[in-house]
Amino acid sequence: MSHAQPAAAASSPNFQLIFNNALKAYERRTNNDLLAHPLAAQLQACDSPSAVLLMLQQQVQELNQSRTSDERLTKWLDPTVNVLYAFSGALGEGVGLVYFTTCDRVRFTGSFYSQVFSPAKVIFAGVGVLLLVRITCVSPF
Amino acid sequence: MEFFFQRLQVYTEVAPTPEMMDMIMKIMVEVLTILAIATKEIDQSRTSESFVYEYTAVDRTTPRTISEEVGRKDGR
Repeated sequence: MSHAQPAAAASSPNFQLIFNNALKAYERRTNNDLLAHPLAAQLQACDSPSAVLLMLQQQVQELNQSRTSDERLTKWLDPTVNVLYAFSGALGEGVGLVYFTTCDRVRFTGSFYSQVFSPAKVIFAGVGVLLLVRITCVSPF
Repeated sequence: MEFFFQRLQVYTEVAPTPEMMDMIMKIMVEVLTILAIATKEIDQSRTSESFVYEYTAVDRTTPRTISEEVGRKDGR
């Protein structure tokens, strides 16, 4: 069970709505719910662009040992993460996506466990999903 | 993509105006859209490659099957 909705009193409801719609469009296209993706939860722990980069690179390295692809990845990933992280900071608390889920411990009490994701973290999760799909897309020939 | 973001890096060093905030949000939405399209395209190409591989793999076994069949008939 998941849905995103404005975090607290969002200062820019339009931003919230636009981003939510983009997230729904992403889900329709890829059949991936980014807010529910394990990578999104992992990225929550990252408090700097370098931490995000490290996590994404580790994920790639686990599946792909090629140094060449690693260098190519760093080349485009570095500016992407740095800029999006800074932009997300500029948007501040105005936009936050709340993911509600039940966890086993609280399911029977009807309580929900929630996490607030910044748009940048959601996008980084999308980057991670793309990298995973790209790596697993190895030609069988 | 890296060139696009390298050029945007300038805007991370200045205080954002309301107009810039609008633009930043649009950029983030567009990036998410691009990621969705790229993910879908790669995923679809993987699926189609997998189909071609399975078809070819089946196809490659056909001559051997025929050969074995002929061998059996010939008593070899």
